[in-house]
Amino acid sequence: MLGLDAARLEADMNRLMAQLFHQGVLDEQFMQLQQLQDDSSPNFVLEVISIYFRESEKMLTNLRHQLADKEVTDYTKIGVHLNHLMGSSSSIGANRITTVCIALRAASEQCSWARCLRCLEVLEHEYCYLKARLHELFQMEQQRVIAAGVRYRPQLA
Amino acid sequence: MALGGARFRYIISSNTLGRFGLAMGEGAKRILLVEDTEVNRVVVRRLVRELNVSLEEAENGQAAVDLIRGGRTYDLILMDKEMPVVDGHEATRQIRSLGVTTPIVALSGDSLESDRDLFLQAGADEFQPKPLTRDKLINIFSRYGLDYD
Repeated sequence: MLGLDAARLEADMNRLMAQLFHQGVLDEQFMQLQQLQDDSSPNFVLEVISIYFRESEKMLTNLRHQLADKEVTDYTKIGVHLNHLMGSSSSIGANRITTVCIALRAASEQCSWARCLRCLEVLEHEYCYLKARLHELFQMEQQRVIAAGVRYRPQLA
Repeated sequence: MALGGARFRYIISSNTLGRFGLAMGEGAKRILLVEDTEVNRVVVRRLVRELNVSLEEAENGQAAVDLIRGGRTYDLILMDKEMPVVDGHEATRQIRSLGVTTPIVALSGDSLESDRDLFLQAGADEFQPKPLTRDKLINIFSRYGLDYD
């Protein structure tokens, strides 16, 4: 039987997950990732998300750099970085980020610098939000593991 | 490996344990995953771990073509679209031009008709939108006669 702390943490984690799904921040693909985590890969989700954050930050920096000067913006390169970001975002279930990437790609295909910039700002905001929430989730899991010595199994209604 | 200033990396990893912790037999099917995004490679690697297949990886189309030119053979190729050096369309074309008839399943984050048409014209057998899930992978394996149990 879980101690009170572990039970409370599990409830908090379920609430956070439900919130992220309800907000559309995450989708079913994130659940798929969690289902791939087991005793032989106990840190699988953390490993994948860490790689995702590392790669995404590079892509976001590249996008920001591409849009720094309207006169020399290379919309083809924007498309390349975006495809990379979209691919990895959809693989981890980062639904809202994927959606904004699609909007940014549409703006880049129209060579609309102002729209690209606006979309990039939204993208950066969504990325920061996702990163903060997932860090929160992983911290709670870590505390829960210490409290109860078990791995989190999501209970999503 | 350096080639005229370009650098290629091949990742060859095998699922050495089957579902029940047994070493895989000689008959394990060989899959080549051609994908530049590390997140996607890690996910597919984990997805196939429980299936009785051997996974090799190439980080771009050129690396994939080089593996095949070098004599490596596969039972299935999973080919991403957008990759540096040589993209999925071109890699598929080059692999077919070598006379290789291995099934190629194209993967793309887009579901655009134009993308699918380009891949099929290049010689891919099928087009799958990403992300790949375990169920999708099992269905693909079944379609191409890969025993994964």
